[in-house]
Amino acid sequence: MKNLKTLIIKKGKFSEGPKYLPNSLRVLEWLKYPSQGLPPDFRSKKLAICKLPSSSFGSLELAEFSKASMNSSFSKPNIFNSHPNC
Amino acid sequence: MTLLNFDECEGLTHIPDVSGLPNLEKVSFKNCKSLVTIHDSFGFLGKLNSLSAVGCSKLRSFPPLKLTSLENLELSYCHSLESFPEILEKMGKITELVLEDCHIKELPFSFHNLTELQTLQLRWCPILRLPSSIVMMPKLAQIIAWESKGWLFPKQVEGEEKVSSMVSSNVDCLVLSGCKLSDDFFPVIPEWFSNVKDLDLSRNNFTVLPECISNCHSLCKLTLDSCHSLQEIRGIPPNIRHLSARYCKSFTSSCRSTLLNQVFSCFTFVMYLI
Repeated sequence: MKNLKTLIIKKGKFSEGPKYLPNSLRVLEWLKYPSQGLPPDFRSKKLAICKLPSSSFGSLELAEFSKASMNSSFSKPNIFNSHPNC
Repeated sequence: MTLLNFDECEGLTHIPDVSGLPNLEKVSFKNCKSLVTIHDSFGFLGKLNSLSAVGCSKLRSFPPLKLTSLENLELSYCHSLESFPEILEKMGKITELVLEDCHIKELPFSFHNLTELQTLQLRWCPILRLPSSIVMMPKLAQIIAWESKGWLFPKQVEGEEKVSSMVSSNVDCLVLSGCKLSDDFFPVIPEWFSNVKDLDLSRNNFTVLPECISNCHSLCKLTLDSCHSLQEIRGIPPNIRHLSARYCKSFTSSCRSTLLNQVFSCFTFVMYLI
């Protein structure tokens, strides 16, 4: 699923987090994301919307996530142009 | 990245450096019960439009803000937050600010940098002091406070920029209901709120409505309901059109007749007195 752009999981119950997420993701929305961080080889440069409420994310993981996004001067993808919140 | 939502993430104790995410427009970390600190870089996200930290009950401080695009700031139910963030430069997109059940004790002098703020609502806040800089906020028209444990009014404090005592705020609706106000509160009204038209002082502790209230020439609606200690009315604002003083248990008979005389002297006067 190398071209997957949107992944939304609202009611799933998983025992562990994903081992792989495609770098093509623009939207990642996952309620109770079951892992403390995103997969190590996931590059979040194209990610525009990241919603991980009630997840196990800690401060260190969030810091790594922010660092990984650094220097990614990213312009909005076309799919969000009509979305008022994006 | 434009939207980041980490609501209810109990493992978050610190929001790290977000300078790598300069395009953020909406950030929410509601009910992160372990969150204690936020990195200073957060205050410099130039595109940030909405920021919610509601219910972060351990959050002790908020970094200074220079968020020129911010329209929505939510800090209610942050029980450990004792001071409102400094506003480093003009932030002209926020028109309404609601602080509910916060332990913020005072608003900083730089609060006036919220230049377009029209309504300030405070509910269940502890003793709170308004900054003297509210007179530098021409758009601020409503201050609505319920159930504060006390209220301290603007006064010139050493180190603050000098604000002329001749200038009054533009607030025309002031609600201070159930805020434990006592008699020493009244001189503040003509001094800082001389333009107020609608004044709601219901459920407070003062015993006298003093003569100085007659200096409030703009005041046309006054609510004194359930002021159980109120015994005496020494002054009535000259342009009053609507007065409600229901359930004031301690009213003396002379006080009632003062009010009734006022009814006859003013044709359009509406009064509720039970």
